Amino acid sequence: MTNPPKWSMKFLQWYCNPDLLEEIEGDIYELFDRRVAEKGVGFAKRRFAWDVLRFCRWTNIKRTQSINHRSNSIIMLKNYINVGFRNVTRNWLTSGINIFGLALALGCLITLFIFIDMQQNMDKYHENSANIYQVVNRVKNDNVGVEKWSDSPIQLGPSMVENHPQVADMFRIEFQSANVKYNDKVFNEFLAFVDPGYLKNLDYDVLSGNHNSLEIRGHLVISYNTAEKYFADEDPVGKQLTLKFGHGRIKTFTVGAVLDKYRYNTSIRYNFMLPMKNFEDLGFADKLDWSYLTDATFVVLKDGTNLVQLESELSEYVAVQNSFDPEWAIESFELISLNELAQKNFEITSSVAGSSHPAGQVALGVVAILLTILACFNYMNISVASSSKRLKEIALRKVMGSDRKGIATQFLVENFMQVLFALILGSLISYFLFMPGFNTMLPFTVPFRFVSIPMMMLFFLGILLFVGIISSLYPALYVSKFQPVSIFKGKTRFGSRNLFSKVLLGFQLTFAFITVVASFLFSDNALHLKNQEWGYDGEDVLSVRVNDASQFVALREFAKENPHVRDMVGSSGNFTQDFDIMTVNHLETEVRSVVLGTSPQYPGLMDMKLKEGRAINSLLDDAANREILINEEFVTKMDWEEPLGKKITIDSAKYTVVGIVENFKYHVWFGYEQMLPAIVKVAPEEQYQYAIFKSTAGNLDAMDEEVKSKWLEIAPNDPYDRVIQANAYDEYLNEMDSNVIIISFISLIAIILASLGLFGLLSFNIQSRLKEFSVRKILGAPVIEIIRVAAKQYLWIVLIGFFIGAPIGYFLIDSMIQNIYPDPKPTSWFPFVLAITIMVSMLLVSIIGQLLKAVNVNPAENLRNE
Amino acid sequence: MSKGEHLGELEELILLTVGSLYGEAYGVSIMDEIKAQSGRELNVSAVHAVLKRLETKGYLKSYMGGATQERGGRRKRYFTLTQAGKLTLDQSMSYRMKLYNNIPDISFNFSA
Repeated sequence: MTNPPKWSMKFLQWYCNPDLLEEIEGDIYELFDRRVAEKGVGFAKRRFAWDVLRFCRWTNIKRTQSINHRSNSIIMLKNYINVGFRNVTRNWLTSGINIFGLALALGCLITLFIFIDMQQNMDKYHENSANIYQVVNRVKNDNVGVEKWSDSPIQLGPSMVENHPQVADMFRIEFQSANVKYNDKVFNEFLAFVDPGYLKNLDYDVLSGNHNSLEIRGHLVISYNTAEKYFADEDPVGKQLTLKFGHGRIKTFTVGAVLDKYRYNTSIRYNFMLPMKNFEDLGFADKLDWSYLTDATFVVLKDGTNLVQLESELSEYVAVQNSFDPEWAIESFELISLNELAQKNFEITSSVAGSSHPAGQVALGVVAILLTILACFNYMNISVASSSKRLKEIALRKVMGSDRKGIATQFLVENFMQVLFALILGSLISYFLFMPGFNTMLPFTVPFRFVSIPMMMLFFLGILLFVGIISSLYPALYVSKFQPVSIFKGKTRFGSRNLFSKVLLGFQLTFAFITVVASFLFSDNALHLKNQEWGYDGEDVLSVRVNDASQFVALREFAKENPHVRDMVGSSGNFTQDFDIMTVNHLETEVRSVVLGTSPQYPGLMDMKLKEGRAINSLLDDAANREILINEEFVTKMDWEEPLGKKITIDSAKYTVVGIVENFKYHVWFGYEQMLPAIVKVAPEEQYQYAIFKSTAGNLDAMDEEVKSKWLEIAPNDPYDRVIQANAYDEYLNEMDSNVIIISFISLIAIILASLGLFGLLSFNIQSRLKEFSVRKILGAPVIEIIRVAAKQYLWIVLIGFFIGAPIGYFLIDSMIQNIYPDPKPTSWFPFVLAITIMVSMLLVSIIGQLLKAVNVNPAENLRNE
Repeated sequence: MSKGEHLGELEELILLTVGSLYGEAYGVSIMDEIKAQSGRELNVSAVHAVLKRLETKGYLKSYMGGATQERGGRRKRYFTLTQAGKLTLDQSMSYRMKLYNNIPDISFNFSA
């Protein structure tokens, strides 16, 4: 008996749809037998192989059986969604928890993504941005290695355009400041002198006026906000602005163009742009050769320029530059793309693109991803637990012939549906809650917007798939595994006793403890730093900047007559505004110290607290016998037992210590700055830069108005530049508040997620053990006993979470605080205790209802068997 | 007759053969019968493909026969005409006959 070739047979069996295999095999086998009998084995074998090949067509290969099957799977999908929807509405509480928890985390993630998306796409909207590079100086600094300086030789840009054909254009940016006057409006403004290439190569939209204004001497370009500030409803184009520069020269400029509002992802933005030619004319420096460094140089390269080659060509300028300025020797020039500038700005000294270190972004990103993963854990846990109610449904489906794949698909579809809900809800939360909240804490506004639509689609699809798969794959695969027999017998019980879900819950609680402890320690320190004594009394104090002695004298005359002014002194320095940090000497010892030049009456007006000695006596102050006050830090630093009468040399002049004052907060960002030894000395009247007013109690605002109107008479060309001393630290205090809010917010979400997780698991556990509790009750178990039995296993998880989480949280936040703040509050037990109390009470609140349910079971209802 | 119900030439031939082999129509027997009647040699895979197409169109139905000793014990899939298949054949035949009968005798006068 001959057989057909084996390999052919195997091939047929491999490709053929099993449903069709038998008939096809039968037919060609029959033909084979006949051919063997008629024409011999070889012919039959060849024809057999040929037949196998001829049968290899798509209709015989495809496995799903055409039309009927396809419509069936659509019907099943509809059915899954239907069942899923019913399940969501039936278990609305757990589904709600699930969806809400996930939505919270996704809201954070979306908010953060938008922020990072914006940061990543800074300035990329300029059409030619890929060809625009900033030339930075790499300068060797003995202390910190090589620094990158935004400041670069003012001659570098023009030389590059002249000598290198690859360089198409360049623009430089030079900062100055001036008092800008239009009619009665005078403000001190930050100015940028720029080359015409600035507007040619960067795609800022010109709202009105001439796009080429920067090429015209005596014209300037202003931003949208500036136009509103000075001109309100008028058309600014063609109007004259008078600028009084820092070195005293006055020049009138014509507004040539107004830029439209800057796009939100613009890092280089100025309010006043003046032609560079005017900078050259105005004589700010003796000569503008290679020794003069301008604030930034950008070059525009032609397409396909070899960067490495150009950078090496630039080395010829290094020697030129170093011969002019040997003190800060340059190693090389480096080209940094405009596309990367916003990300690299923290590396560049005095970068023109603002400066935010990416570490903050990364930290927040990690936290948001962690929160999302926690929410996924939550979701998994509750999803597994909630399927314990549906065991019989699963078993029945299996008995009716559903395979494991079918059941897994059902769970996947249901879960994806819920994730989709959560995603929509999360977007809404982000749009209406998180983004506005986030924006109030930033100095600028980030719109709810993605830079590109494909990026947005990819992001949301990515979240949906990632979260959907991460959170539903385990439940789907786990639940579909059960055998119907053991379910019907009542053998399979899970959810509550599952080690996996306990580990997940453990993670959640650990993370919650980490963030809670960290947040309380951080807040405790922040509040401590925030509420430190200033060392003086800033209430009712107003400081007005004066430009020369005549202005000061005029104000002093005014103060004598004004009833609201209680006291008025002059000063060359002022807390938060102006002080020097220099090295002073006592004998041979050098001390880095803050030196505040004031008038003899200044400490009295500011109500500085004298600890020892006496105030500076203005009558005794003469060249032979100059008196100073020092702060306590100075005494501590020098370790003086008897500080009064000690001699200190400042700038080769000798001073005598006559009094010691309490430490005072001279710096606006005092929490971030090391407290230095400080000296209060007397400055001569010609050096007065501030007129310090103190009003009679509660009349500060009235006095402010009166001083302002007087100022318009005295100095119509200078801005009324004043600081209300009580508000001087507001920026710092607000930032401290924002930090506390952000970290508390993160820990709040972590607590909510952990509580939801605990609640979900416990409620299912109790649900499935109602009969057990009923029996215990009948047998006389007291309330305490039932609570103990119900909560015992979770108590362990909470304890483990605490003992792992609390120390981690402590070490993390402690090292962070030590890094940021030079003088933090020593850690105390109080925040720990508070954190744990709050955490435990949150957990208790979330489970108390469920525990009561266990205690209040009605045995008659639960044990009745119908 | 819409396009989907249109019978191809081979389809019609096989439909007729299935009808004529009443109760004994399966892949190989249909192929043999067509060769015997018309001398046309078909590959068995082509017969299978047409049979399946006719089945999805609803002109044929099929069932698996019992196991036999031949062909390695594999069962045969037998095809029979459905009511719809019979109807289609009738229609096809009738319009052919009608057209055929309309041919005037003169056209058979080849000698002229």
